[in-house]
Amino acid sequence: MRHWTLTYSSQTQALLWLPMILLALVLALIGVHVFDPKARRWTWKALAVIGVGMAVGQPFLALSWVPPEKYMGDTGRILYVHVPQVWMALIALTLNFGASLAFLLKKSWVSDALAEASAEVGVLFGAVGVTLGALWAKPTWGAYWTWDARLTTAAILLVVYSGYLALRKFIEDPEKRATWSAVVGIFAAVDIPVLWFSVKWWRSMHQTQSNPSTVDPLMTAVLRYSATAFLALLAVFIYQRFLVASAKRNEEVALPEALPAVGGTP
Amino acid sequence: MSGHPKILAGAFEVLRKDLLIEWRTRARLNALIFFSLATLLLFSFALGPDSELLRKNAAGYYWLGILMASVLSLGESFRIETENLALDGLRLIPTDPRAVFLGKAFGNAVMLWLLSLIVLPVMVALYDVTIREGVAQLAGLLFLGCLGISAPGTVYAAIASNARARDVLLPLLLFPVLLPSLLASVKATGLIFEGDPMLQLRSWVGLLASFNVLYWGLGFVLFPKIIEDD
Amino acid sequence: MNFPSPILAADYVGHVVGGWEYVQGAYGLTLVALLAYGAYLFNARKDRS
Repeated sequence: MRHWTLTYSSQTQALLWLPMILLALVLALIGVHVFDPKARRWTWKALAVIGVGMAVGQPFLALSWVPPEKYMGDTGRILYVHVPQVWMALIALTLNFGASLAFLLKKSWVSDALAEASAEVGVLFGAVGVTLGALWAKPTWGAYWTWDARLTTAAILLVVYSGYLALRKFIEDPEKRATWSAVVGIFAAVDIPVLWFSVKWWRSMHQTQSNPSTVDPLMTAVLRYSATAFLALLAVFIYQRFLVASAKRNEEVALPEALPAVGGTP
Repeated sequence: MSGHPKILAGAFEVLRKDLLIEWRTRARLNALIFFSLATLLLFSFALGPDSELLRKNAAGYYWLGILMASVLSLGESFRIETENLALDGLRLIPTDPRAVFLGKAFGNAVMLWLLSLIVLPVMVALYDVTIREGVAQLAGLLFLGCLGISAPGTVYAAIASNARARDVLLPLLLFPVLLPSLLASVKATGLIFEGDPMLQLRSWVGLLASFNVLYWGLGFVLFPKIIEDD
Repeated sequence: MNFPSPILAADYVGHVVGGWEYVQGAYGLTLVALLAYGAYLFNARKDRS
């Protein structure tokens, strides 16, 4: 087993900057996408290319290039996917809160479709992230599941937003669906920090796992690289899901005026 | 601030109406009592004849019993409004929708509180619990806990009552959101049962009270969005 | 410093020590989830356009 040292060649030192440059590129593309509607034809494609390309390289970096973690050994490599996945879930769900709030302030199908897209993608990333956390916990803590504040809150967060998605499926009227799910989205988002603290206090005698404070720069670089890859994919997923949701919304809104009620009026 | 007495008067009217409907038949409360008794019995059957375990976790089972019953109660409180389009009638009279929220949520809290008080002696006998910190304190805590369930419960019941599959939807939406206040209620009730040598009860009750402020505030602001006509 | 190479990765994945089966499971799951969701979105987009 190789172990890391804190001295690197200047070549490696230079390489450590690469994730930050890629991150800046991805953020710039997302910015252009958001603020320039005309650029949206190509920005998502560029993001997709970057995201898929980086995701293909990610296992090589995380599974072989980076040396095993000092305390956790090779199991620590799960963290290079687990941590960014959970970060992305949090970004998506924060976006859902923003979209819900925006809808209640000013009704618009754009914010409704964005809320739908971000919640679904957030639940996807969150579900994968939590499962990866459980996979990491088994060899590290000896059990897939422990009463840990972070774990419990994450699991409940998933249940809350699964309920949100179920609600969206159960209401036919698009305007009612948009309003009600926005209300539920705000309740859910406000509840999450509250839940986090309450669960922490509930079992405050159990200390949560503390991380080693000295993190090797190589590991930070790989973590940042993975997060950038997932961020690009997240942006593409949310945008594509948003297009699906908006198209569906347009169909729904157009229908009642275009067609008479099926079977005539009673 | 001339709007406030009007809202409170409207809330009182809604509350009076709901309690009157309930008082005429008392069907809801009766059904709830038997339902939560059955739930409490189920817990003791599921755990077997280990009375020590039951006593230790009594607060948790007690609140779970109330929570299960609350879903039925909340669903019912809006079912009476969807019958004969009563909610539309309620919307047409010039009341503030926030008054409807206050009245309904308070009515639901009172209903749950009555339920919890009626079930309490049976629970004490069934789980062999001793109430160490005083019954009055327990009653106050129960009311605070019921308020914490009823505010988000009323908002979600209003949503679920108009959706398809409302019986599935209400618990699915409500249970996870209620967890923080439920945790605080269970912890505080447990301390009242088991005694409070470390003086932790105060902080749990304070926590529960702050959840209440948050939930009631959110419900008060967001409820009009739900029942407003589009 | 080793450079990323598929041979090295295969070497690591090859021997199951210190929880490697969990690492494999984790990366496999991530890959499957992302691919499946991508495919689902691709189909949904095709249907809508």
